[in-house]
Amino acid sequence: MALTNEQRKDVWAGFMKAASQDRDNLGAVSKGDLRDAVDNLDDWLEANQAEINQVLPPSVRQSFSAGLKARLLMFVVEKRYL
Amino acid sequence: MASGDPLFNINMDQGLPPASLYATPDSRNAPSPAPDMEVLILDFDASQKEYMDFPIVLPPFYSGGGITVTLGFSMSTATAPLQVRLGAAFAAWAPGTQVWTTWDFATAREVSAECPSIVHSAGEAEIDFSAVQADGMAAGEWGVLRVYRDPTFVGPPADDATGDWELIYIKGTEA
Repeated sequence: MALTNEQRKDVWAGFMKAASQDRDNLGAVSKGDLRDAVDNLDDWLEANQAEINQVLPPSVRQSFSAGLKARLLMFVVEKRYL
Repeated sequence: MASGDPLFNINMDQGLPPASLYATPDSRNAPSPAPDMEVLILDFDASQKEYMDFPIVLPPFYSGGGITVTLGFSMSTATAPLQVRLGAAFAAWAPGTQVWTTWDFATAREVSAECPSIVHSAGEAEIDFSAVQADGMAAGEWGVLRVYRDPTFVGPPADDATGDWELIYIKGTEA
């Protein structure tokens, strides 16, 4: 299920707070654009969660909870990009 | 008293947080030369309206005219052409008449300010008050100046700047 509007707002505000604490340079990206990015990413995950699940080996797919799979995905994304 | 003459200067350690929705103390590090300089600032959130109150005393030579409040700031993450919506309001404590239970701020004055074009660099915003708009504060009188950011302001121009508005100093001058 996609995030609720309130949850998306929490992600949006939380990202800005974290970026502020780290003094990240978000340049001229507006708050509206940032909120659209949160919405679009969540929409994409909603639309593609079955495909993500499908690329996992059967043992992982069948025995891991959704939370564990999400954690694994976060580890891969973090190592790739951060 | 001449136009542009200083009435008050405020550093961020003088801020009194209201009961809720207060700006958060933070510090900015200027690393050269050693030892690093650490300047106290106040962070005003990008998603909810936050406030800070500053006690002030107008000097005895204040002539009773308009007051210009200058807000010195930087942005945590955002640059031009993004905008922030800023506001300020005075509450005069008139001796002999003021009562705690009914004391309140005069109507706030607001201005939109563009973020500096270079991230983390200095910006200034000015808000002009007539003497009445400054709650009729008299020379030598004590009162409170409230400062806030309204990130919910839809404009135009909307407060569309990401991240914190960092308040560094406040200056008050005779208009």
